[in-house]
Amino acid sequence: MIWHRHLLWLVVCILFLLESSLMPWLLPTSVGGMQLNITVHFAFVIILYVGIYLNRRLAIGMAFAIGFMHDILFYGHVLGAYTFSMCLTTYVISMLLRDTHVSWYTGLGSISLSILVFDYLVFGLYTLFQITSVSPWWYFVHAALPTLILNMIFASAIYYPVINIFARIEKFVAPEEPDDYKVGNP
Amino acid sequence: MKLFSNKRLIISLISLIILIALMGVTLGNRGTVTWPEKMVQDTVAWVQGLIYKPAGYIAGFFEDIGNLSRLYEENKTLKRTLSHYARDTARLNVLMAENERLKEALRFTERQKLSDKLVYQIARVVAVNQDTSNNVFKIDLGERDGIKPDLPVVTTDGLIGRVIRVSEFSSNVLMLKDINDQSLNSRGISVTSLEHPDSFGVIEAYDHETGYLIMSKIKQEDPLQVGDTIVTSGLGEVYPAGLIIGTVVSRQEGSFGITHVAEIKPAADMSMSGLREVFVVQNAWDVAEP
Repeated sequence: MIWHRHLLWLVVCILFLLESSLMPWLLPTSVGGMQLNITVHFAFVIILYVGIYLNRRLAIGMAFAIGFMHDILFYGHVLGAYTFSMCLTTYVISMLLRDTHVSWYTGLGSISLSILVFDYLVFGLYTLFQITSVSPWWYFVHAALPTLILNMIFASAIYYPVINIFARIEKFVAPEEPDDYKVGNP
Repeated sequence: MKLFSNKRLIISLISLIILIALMGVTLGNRGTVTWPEKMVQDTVAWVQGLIYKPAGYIAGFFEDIGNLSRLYEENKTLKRTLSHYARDTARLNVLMAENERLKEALRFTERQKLSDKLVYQIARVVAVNQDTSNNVFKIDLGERDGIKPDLPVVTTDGLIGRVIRVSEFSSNVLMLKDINDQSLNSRGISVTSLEHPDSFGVIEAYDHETGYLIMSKIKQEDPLQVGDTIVTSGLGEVYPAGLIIGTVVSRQEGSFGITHVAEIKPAADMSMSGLREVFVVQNAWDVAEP
């Protein structure tokens, strides 16, 4: 049943569209005089769930598509920062948790780590190309930390529904994929 | 646990190289973007506009309810301003008529006359990127509407950014707070003061920690004072003269002690919240003779 896969793509695309069009109206830009730059990564959270619990290849494909879409849509300075960071983070986190049974605290912990790493990868690339000169600490307090908190609220809110749905569609979306190399000593 | 097999290692390294090369190539001025980019931008911008605009109306409704208590105060201020306005308009009409007459007498060409005039094209915001390092929002005007890269974009309060990428029916606007003296991509804005038209300075950087723009290259004997309104001077040829940028908050010696540096509080809201309509500013001559 291939339409489960299409449905996943649809959900990710809709979330991606809402990130830049609906969410700016709902989020505060400052709290108590302190400036906040909250970035919404809802589509990326779903991609991470897919990578950890469902299908690694599908997740990397989604990360590439959504990252590239974001890069083209908001092309200001440079193309490819989001594509690079999203693909790398998704790949590494799904490879690390490949053969393990993932409990809820490992799952949510690795998602929060991924979001933080992703934010700093993007920030690092922009610093590398001398586009921004904000200090990393300022970035952490005003952007990375609030972003992490918001996205973790979203990720924990959808944890149980997502796990249930994934358990139901697992056999359609993730057929036995042959691993072309052995784990451990040959 | 092995993270990469041999085949995968090569694939990942190649894609890494391609992505870094892509970033290097697309950094900076590219002129026009290619048609696949334009197609994606226009299609998605249209869908985003379908969500962004109605959401804005709903948000605006709740905002209006919150504003009700302040209406009385605001009304009083507006009435007072209106009386000043009527007086100023009368004076302005006389001056404008005189100006026209003198230009006619001095045989100004059509181009010279039109180049002082600015055309404000209204554009609606369709999507906002909230990434800290890449402050871009999209508007629903594109190449078909005569938009070109580097045109200034203003709100009713003041300058907010410049057009950076243009596709057929939509374009990307880079916000003023992205200006950075270390970046190859950003441009300084030559500015002057409304109260002291002799003063000169260049806005080259934005301090994210204070939220002020940094105006540098000010001479020590420059008449600029704290509280002055800063406008573009038109000397840089990118921005036309007279666009409001902000007010001077402080002025002190620069890091080398040769020139002075001033902090400018931007007139436009730099936080990107509640952006609905902006204006793209164009020279009247460029609109008449593209």
